Amino acid sequence: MSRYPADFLHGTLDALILKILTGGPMHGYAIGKSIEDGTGGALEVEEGSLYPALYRMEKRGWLDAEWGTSELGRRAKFYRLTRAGRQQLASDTAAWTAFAAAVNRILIKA
Amino acid sequence: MALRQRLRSLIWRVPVEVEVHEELAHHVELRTQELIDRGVDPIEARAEARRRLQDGRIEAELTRIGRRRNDSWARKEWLDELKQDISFALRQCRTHPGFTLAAVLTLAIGIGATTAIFSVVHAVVLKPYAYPEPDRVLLTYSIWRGNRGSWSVGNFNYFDQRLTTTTHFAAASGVNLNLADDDQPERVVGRRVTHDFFPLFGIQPALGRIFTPDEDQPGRTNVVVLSHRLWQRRFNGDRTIVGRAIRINGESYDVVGVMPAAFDEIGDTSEAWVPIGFTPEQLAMFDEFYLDAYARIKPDVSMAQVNDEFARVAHSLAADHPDLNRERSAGADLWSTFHVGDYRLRLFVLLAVVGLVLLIACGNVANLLLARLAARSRELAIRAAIGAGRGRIVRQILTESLVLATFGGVAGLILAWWALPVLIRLAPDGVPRLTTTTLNGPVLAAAAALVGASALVVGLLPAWQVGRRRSFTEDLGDGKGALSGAMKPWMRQTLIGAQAALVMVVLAGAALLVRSSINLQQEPIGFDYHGVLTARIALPEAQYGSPDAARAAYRSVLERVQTSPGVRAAALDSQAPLTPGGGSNGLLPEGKTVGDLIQSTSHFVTPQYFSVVNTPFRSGRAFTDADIRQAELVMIINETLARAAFGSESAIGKRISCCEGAPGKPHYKTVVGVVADVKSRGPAQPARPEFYLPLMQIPDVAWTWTGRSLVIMTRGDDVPAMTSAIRGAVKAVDSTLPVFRIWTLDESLSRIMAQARFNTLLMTMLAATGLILAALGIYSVIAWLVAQRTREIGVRMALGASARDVIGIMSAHGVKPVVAGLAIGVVGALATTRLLQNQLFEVGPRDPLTLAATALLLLIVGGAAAAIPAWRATTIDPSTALRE
Repeated sequence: MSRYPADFLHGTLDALILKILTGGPMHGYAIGKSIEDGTGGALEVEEGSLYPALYRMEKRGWLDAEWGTSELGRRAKFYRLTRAGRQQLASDTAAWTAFAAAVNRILIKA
Repeated sequence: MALRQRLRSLIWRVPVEVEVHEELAHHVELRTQELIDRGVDPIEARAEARRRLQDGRIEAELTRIGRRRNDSWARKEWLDELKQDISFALRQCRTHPGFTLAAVLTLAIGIGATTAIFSVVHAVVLKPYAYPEPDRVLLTYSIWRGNRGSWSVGNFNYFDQRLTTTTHFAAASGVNLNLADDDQPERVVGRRVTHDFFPLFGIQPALGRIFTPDEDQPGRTNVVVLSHRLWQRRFNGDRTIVGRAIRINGESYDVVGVMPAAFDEIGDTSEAWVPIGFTPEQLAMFDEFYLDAYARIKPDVSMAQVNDEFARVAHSLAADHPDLNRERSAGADLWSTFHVGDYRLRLFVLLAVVGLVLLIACGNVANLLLARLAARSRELAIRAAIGAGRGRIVRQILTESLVLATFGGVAGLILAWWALPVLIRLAPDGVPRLTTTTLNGPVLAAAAALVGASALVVGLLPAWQVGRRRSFTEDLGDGKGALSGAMKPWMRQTLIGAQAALVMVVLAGAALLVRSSINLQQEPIGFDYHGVLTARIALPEAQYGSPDAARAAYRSVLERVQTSPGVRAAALDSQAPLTPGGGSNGLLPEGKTVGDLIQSTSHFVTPQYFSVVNTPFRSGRAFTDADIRQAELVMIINETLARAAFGSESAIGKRISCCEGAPGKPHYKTVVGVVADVKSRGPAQPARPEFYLPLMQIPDVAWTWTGRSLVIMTRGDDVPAMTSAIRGAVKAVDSTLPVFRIWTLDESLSRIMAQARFNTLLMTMLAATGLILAALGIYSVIAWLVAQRTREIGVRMALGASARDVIGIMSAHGVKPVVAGLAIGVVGALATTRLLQNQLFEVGPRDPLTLAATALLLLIVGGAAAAIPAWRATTIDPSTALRE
């Protein structure tokens, strides 16, 4: 479904999730939707990538989860950013910027 | 943050399966809604949303990750709690320095002593030997009538040509090496060896080479390999020594190699080795048993196979050379086992005893901890009230005991590090590998294990005490509530009972050793050894090969010594009593058959000998200057030999064949005197048959048996004067001759007793430590009980109870468990003291008098430890006590 191969997303998905969550706690579906909307539909995150990433980030302590009530009035798991998550986002952002700049230096010049 | 997360996960925690299932169900719900909103048919939309979850594969993956996530949280929580417990325990240590100091010091003594002894056990017994595959290196022996002994050259050679289970078979024989390179003559203990000796142990030389097979030939033997020790001491580690010539026993020897330091620890105390170079005549000699022989066995061969082959070859040897080998067999043992000898048992007994002392120390700390917990019952109740489970509180208590044990362990290691060199210096000579003792990796691991074990022993009772409580609510009150009340004295009494039992065992062992020691001190040696100085010299073969030259040299030395100031009497002996060395011969009384040979210790002496040592004569006469080779050949024997040879008949005038002649051609000497038995190997060893020949009558061959080495003995009051008399006389006769083993017989005796004295000292120190610790434990329990019952004591005294009554009632709480523990301890002592059997002298391992005295001592000390705090209770003013 994605218009880019999964490899492209790999490694940047964590950073995207962290960034999205700076806006406040969200459940999984909303996070996926926000990434899709935020990229103008260019990136569509599959369930098979999104949820494992969320669980792994929870294990690393970047995210916290708690049960809340969703817009459907149902019990849903809401994720929030932890302090460690915020630090991770900062370093991911810096790394990505440097990487993109380096790649651009070749690709754009050509 | 961490706390919030923990609280939340505590409150919200649901099984991972439920968590994942609910989360994905919610996702499907929203996705379906989205698709419907885009105009997809609702049934189609739900199917599409489900399909995107890949038939449950995502659910399974999330469950797996979630489980790992929960595990890692649990670990983190456990670590967090441990950190909390440790920091709480450290705070407890800071706020109760007295308690902490007492507990840590007690554990330090126990753990330190145990670690120190373990390090010795490791160095002497457990550590593998420094040569490759130590379990293949054997000491072999020839067996004659059940006794293990040395090899003759002929027998060794016979085996060497036939053995198939060994890769190496080597012979060695001790030799005195007089080093006289410069003006400092020195006598060095060396060995003459066959070339296979070094490859057998498998250690390469540090410098140069070892012996080649052709250096086994006579005439090519003037080469020497130095030990690391000698190389360092005498040649200052000079690497150019290899290839140089040094003077040994008056001849020039080429230094061909130097062995590494590791070779000093294989169990050979020699400092230099020279080739043994058997001559064809020697190879044909099947008597004269003086060789040690070692073997390295092939990898796929078992000990049983080796011993089978030795027995088989011995059998064919007996058939080929029946004269001396008819009753002879052969066998082999691990060299390491032989070398460690009975130190294995002794050291393990010591380790067990020090372990018991550690247990006693743990008992004390457990007692202290119980008292601390009683005082902290309120705090524990609060912890329980805010949600700490019982398991959590138990863990906290075990953590506290672990912290105490760790401090105790560190302090104990410092103690061991400080005490080890002292212990090694005090230890008697001859404990194999003792000086290699260090606090190395295995020892540190053992110390860590001791810390863990001590923490468990210390913490288990207190933790159990707290853990079995269902409710702590009663303790929330004034802190004197249910937990402190429930801390029933029986538990602490059990502890002091157990301590009493352990102390009883240790004390009984120590008491037996002390009694043996006293018995040894009082055992008569059989002659007047005070005021006798001995010194040994050895005449090298090169200058003194002819017996005439040796006789002349000794006569001249003796004349000079005799006339020196400070010397009242002087004599020569081939083997002075109480000193090492010497040989024995098979004696055949006239009229007996060859089967009745009496193996007897030989003394070749000058006439003055008996007035130097003052041995009482039972009958007959001493030697005189008239007893020369041309006169009638005479002999003096001791009582044991007289009894063995002639029973109750008078020995004087009877004849005994010895030392020369051949089977079937006896060479008789006439017995002219019988002297009293002498305990010549120390008070613990029974007297053996001994005989004396006049030095001037011995056959020429006897000079080679003794290696032309004799002991000069002088009697006098002034030891320095006698020492310089001997040194001066020897120097005047031959300035290159080293004088060695210059000892008074008092020193020799104390050297023989050093082992027993050291063991007794260690055991007594350990027993005293255990007794003091147990007394402190009893004291603290009774003091605690008294503090608990101050009010009751006040009431009793107000109602007219006498101080006596109060002391009786209170100290009974300590004395009763001590008596019970004592009974158990006596049973324990009866079961275990036989391990000391080989260290005891004229006292049985179950000696009732010793056990009774030990029990009495323990009872008195225990009673006093209980009575002192009880007595202090009676000094309380009743009105004060009642107001409490």
